[in-house]
Amino acid sequence: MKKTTQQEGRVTASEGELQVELYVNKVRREGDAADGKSMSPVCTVTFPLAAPEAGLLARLVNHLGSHPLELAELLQGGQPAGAAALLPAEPPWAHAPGADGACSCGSASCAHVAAAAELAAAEWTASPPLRWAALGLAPQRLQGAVFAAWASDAPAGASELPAAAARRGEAGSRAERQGPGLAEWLAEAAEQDRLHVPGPQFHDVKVILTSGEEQAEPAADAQAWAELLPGIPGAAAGVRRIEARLMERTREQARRLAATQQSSSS
Amino acid sequence: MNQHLYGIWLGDVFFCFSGEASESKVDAWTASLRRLELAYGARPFQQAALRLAELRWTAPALRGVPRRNERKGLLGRTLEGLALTAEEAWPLLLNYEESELTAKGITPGAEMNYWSGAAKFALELMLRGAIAPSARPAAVPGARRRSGQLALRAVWGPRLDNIHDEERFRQLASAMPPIGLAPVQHIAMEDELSVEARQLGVLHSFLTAFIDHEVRKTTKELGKELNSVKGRYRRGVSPLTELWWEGLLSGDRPLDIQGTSAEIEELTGEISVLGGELPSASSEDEPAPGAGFRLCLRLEPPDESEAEEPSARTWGLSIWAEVPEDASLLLPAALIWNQPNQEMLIRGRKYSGVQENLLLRLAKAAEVSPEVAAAMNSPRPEFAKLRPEEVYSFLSRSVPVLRRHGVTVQMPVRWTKEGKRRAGVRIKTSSWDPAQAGKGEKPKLGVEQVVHFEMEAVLSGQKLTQEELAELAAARAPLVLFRGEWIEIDVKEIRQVLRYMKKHEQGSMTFKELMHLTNDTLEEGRYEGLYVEGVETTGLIAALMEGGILKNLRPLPVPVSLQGTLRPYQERGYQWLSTMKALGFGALLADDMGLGKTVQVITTLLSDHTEGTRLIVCPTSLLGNWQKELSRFAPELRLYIHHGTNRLHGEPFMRACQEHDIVLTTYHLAGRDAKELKEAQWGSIILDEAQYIKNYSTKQAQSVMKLSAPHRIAMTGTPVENRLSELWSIFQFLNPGYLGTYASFRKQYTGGGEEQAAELLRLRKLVAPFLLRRLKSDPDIRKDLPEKIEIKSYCSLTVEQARLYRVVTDDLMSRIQESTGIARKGLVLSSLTRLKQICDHPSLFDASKREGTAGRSGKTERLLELLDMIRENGEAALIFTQYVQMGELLVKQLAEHYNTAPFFLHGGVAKNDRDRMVNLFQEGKGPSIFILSLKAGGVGLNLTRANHVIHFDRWWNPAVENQATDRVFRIGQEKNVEVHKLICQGTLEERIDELIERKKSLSEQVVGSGEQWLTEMSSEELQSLITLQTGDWS
Repeated sequence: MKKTTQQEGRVTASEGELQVELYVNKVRREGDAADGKSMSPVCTVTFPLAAPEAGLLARLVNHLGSHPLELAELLQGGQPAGAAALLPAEPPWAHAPGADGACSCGSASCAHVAAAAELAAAEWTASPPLRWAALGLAPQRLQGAVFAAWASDAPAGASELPAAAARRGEAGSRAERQGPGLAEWLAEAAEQDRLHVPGPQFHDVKVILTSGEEQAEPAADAQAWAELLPGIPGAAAGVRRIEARLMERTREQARRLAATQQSSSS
Repeated sequence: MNQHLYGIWLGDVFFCFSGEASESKVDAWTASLRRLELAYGARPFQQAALRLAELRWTAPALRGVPRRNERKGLLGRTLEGLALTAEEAWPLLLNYEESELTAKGITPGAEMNYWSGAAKFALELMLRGAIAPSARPAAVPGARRRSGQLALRAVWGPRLDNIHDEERFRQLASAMPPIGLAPVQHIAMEDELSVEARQLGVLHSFLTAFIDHEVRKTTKELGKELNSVKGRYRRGVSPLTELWWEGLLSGDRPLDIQGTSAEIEELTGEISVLGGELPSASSEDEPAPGAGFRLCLRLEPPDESEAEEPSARTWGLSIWAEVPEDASLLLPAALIWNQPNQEMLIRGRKYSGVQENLLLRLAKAAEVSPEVAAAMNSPRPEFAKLRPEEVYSFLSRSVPVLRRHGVTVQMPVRWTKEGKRRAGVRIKTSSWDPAQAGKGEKPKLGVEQVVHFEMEAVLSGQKLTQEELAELAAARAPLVLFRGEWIEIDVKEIRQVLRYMKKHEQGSMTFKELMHLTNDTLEEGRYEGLYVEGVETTGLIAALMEGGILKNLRPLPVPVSLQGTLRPYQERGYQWLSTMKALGFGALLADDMGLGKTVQVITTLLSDHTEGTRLIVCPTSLLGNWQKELSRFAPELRLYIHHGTNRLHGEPFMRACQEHDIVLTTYHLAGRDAKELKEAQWGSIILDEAQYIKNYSTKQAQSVMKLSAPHRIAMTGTPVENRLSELWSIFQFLNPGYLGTYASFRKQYTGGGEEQAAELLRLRKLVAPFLLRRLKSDPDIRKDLPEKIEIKSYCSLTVEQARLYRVVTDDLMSRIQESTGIARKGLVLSSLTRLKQICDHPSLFDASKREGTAGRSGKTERLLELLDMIRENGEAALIFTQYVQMGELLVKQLAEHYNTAPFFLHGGVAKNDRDRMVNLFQEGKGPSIFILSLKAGGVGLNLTRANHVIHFDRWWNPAVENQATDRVFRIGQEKNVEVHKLICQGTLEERIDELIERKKSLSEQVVGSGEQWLTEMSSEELQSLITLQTGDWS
């Protein structure tokens, strides 16, 4: 049976270390600033991370290289099953909980280390991104390795650009910076039938109009406003008020928009 | 009909336009857009303002061929459209659904999706409160502009300091469809901006406008709540920043801040800390960032050697990276995977993360296309194999989705740039035999005559056999192997052709339909909904349509009853008229002036004069001419002239019509006596100078239209090709209904603009079969023309002239009996002179009434008609008169009539002036009319510029007359010369002319070198010479 964690905390991995921040229980103290976090860390426990086994990187690179879709998934923040299966089952920090963990509170053998180890183990199971990070296998690093492997398969000189692509190098870019270039640029677009067509990155831009929770109101920079308008002390507050009301109005608009789209697609 | 809807951001409004240039099309587009109601419950364009915008835009291509000079760069054009404010455009763009518009018959440009996405981005920023106050330049009112003042307006814009937001902003900007940069900006330093900088600027301006609009609505809503933070700006005391602050809170009242450029610059710097600045473009030193690749998939047809059965061969799907800045540049995926680094420099732009970019695009494509997913099961995805059945599924299911997601999919046909092949029919008409035409059914149907044809199915111009057609129609995918090559077809189109061909391989249509079908443009030429690829005609129909009919005419002998000889081209004209008649077509004879249209028509009248009474309608001034010519060439035709106060009406009129072969009347009377003329039965109707009815709305034109006859001819000497748009009435008379309704004709052919040239070309082809026009300058014609063409114009005396004439003749006849010898000679000569003068103009005789109005002299009226025609043809004329006074009168009249005085040379003119006039005239400078009043000589006068000589009055000595004529007709004269002689009908002029004609064939000596011979006539001879015989022309 899995023990429910009573301890709250945050586990991160970087630079060969696993850091576990432990928080006190959720008690809202009076006078706390209303910034959304009702906890403050008590202490931080760090565990050293063992380097992953030598062949792991090679196996992963091989696997991802043969399954490009999984690599893509990984790069987009996903958790490809096939690759994940290659990861070791056990965390790369010390086998026995409590061993070698150092707590920031300084006292030897405080209960925090054990708690932290428990938390870390739970996180290891629950959070795939942690696993990759803990193993030092950042997606960018893997990607680099896969692409390098692919490139190494190329025959010599096969990475040369065709003349057409290399042509019009600097002159082209300079020409595009100058005015008359615009007319030609437009004419070329018209000739290739893409005057009206958005560039490929248009499809990459994701706009999120539905937010699950209420957004936190951004803090208008009080100091900047005070410096700008010394004669109007309430400016920052005024801006915040405007922003808040704006967010309400646009939330309503977005809701209506979603409703219309739902009814038209149903 | 599908209308386009394009949209771009102009900096202050969202400008929607149709891309059309023709005013009528834009009006129709505007009207239908104003009515457009969308699902979200509003009519966004209902109140939108009309606006003109200067855009770099392609000119409408003439028949699909792009203009040559536009390869270099699109020029600015002014297009009209509808301007939507932020208020109007906001809901339109947020709720934008492409399918909704297409369902309503509107074809939106792909950029509308883009602007909708950008608007949603603005909405998201606002949802998160990611806004920042800022300022944008404003216009300085005119008076202040000189003093170096600048102006700003406070605006609320996007805050892009969050790295995720900035990245998306840049991505959106770089993905802006090129049309977004089409507006021509006239701002300083415009030329130096790069494409990237412009894209960022336009997008920022777009987002700012909508955000500003929404925030201002918000501040208005908050109203009093903001009172405590509103400052109180005092000019000269408070800093400019407070004015700017006020501007932010001023709701929808715009508030501009003016100041010196230093002040404005300082203000701009201060407020920039709030994060509202436009992200900068990359500098000149760095290569501009590439916008990432587009994924391109190419469908590769199988190798034919692979297997016997086409359905067993495997297809391929190859993967390419398309460079968005130049769609023709495709990089094979292998090249990308081969790169040792993650950066590439392509065409001067830096592309980062090239492998990741391509990989992610492939992954996205794999989500919607199982075929692409299959390619992703091995390293370095470059290629996938497809079985034939998978190809169909790919084409019908995956390709549309892929394309919607911005993936280019190329079919093998694209490589040959031919694209989808059109399927349609070719129509082959059977010929007509003119010998058959005319026999059989009456009434003749003219352009409603039926043309039989056969149809064949064609694909891209190649004839399809029945098996091929059936095979293609049975295809399950739009890609088929046809005669050894893979082509793309529209299966629906093919099935339509097959269905039709099964039922009718033959058909028929009217000649009118055939003409219109052949001359219609590519899209419009449809028969029964099928695309008509071409029309083949043979024989007579081909000759008619292509205008080579003259060569195909069956030689018809000239009627023997014709009293005269036709020149060869006149014979051809006669045969043409007869053929047209046999076919039932109305014909327009538009030969150049002087080529003898009248005699050609008369010949036609002779050849079938057993077919009922013919009606000739002409201008009043030509009545005399017609009478003369008919009596000269066709004396056996019985003529009734319906004119004058004593003309017949009612029963007598009907009887006269039946008893005569020809009825001659005027346009004026065609209007007045319309009812009677309409009731009579006519065998044919001939209109002389048919341009008299070009104005459809006049009573004359309407009356003429109501006349009916199975056969119609119209004649005109005006240059028809310059006046195609005036042809409607004439053609409505000749072949009713052929050119459609008047309203549609006007709309189509008198619009003006560039499209009009193409339309007029079509019109010319449509009317070509019914029009015969030959020019004096045609080499074929010139050889048949004498160098000198003599034309006699018979004019009538006015009432005043007739009265004066009678006075003089009576006086002479009463006194002549008593005088003898020299006195008698003197009396005769002076009387004859007076009579001549009266024929010219009454004021020559009666000096007391010196007004020289043209209306007092029949000759002057006729002269003006002649000169009108000559000037319209761009030619020049000499006018000879014996009387200096007449010359002066003419100078005055012509000056009034044409706004420029003609040259006038007479004995009293000094040599210098004479030389000057002659030189000016010869060089083509100055007036094209030269009046000469010289008895003789003038040695060395070279006036060969003129090719018309008009003898206003005559010397009755042919030698003298010829000498005058020959001034024009000399070495150096390249054109045929027309010699016009104005003769007053019924007067001594006519009679003397007849005498001279008779005696010309004998010897000149009989007529003598002077006019003495006249004085030697007996009194009886004299009397018969001078007595006025009127035909009651008044």
